[in-house]
Amino acid sequence: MDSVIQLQRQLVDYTAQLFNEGILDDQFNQLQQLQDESNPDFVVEVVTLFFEDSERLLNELAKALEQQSVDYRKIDAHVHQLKGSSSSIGAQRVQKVCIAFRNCCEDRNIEGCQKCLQQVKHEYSLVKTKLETLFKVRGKKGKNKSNLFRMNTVAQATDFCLYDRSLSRRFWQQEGQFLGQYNKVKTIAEDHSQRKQNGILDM
Amino acid sequence: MSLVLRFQIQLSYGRAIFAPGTSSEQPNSNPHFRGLRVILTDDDDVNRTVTKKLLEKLGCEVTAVSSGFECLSALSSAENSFRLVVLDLQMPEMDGFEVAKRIRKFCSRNWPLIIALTASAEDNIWERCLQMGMNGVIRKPVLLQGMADELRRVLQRAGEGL
Repeated sequence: MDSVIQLQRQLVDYTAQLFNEGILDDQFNQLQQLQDESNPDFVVEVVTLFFEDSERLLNELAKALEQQSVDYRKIDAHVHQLKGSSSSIGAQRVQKVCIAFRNCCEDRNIEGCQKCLQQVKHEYSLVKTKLETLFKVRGKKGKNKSNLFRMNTVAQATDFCLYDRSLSRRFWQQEGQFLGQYNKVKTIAEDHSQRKQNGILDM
Repeated sequence: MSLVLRFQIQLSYGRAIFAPGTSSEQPNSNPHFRGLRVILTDDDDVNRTVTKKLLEKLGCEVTAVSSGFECLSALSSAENSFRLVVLDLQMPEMDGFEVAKRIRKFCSRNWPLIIALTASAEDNIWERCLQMGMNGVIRKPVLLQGMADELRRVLQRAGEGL
């Protein structure tokens, strides 16, 4: 059980760090609160869309800034879109660079635009790396699905109060300790419900 | 017994930090808006996905489309009786103002209700929306509370007795 607590603590610390560094803002919390049983992968889905869109937009921006005669309206439209989607997922630092980027666009400041593109690329890859670390598992997801389901049931049964169950599931799975943890938790859960039935616990 | 003690520590640890966080504790839908048929139009994939989920959280039945053309064609098909259009103002090809104008021209002055979504901070946005026959505006990024408040206000004004 110690290592479960330790892993959870790591997850909590890591998430808190992302907020402290201003990489994420409260909008990301809202995203997590929107996730529910009817759509347990909502956060990962939205963030994946964000990655796809951002990469397309960053490519478009790089191309547009290389042109002989720069189309600032087009650039502004791309940056506007990136600003919108980054603010929707709470990627605060990407969003902030977008604001500066749009100002440079308005001033038709090519050097400023190029600098902003580098900055926004940097901030984007930072938030991407951090979010991927948070989600790590994508791709392996199908593999342990039935176990994940049981894990979820056990977690509910034992009234685990986790910030985001799917995140912690992924975290455990990522650490390669999933089954071990699952069995431990199951034993504890059974023990717990047995005690509850016997009236030893009223928790 | 030592196992149980650890278990309790973990519980309080989780609760202390994330008391409001567990998704299953959130109300699944708001009874005020349950069954409200909404068509959401936004060309941006991320924003559309998030806004759709927000509306569903409030209890709405949401159809999401990614262009003004799709929105108009969905509205014109007879079996779809949307009560509310949530419309992003800034879209390529046909923007939200144009979509609203056409809705008011081809549908009616008071059906369906239209709420605009905008990231713009301009003061005159609200006026321009009113001129185009829209009923409300929500600033992006959209928050659950802001969405609920504006929906309630617009429905109340339309005399739907909430």
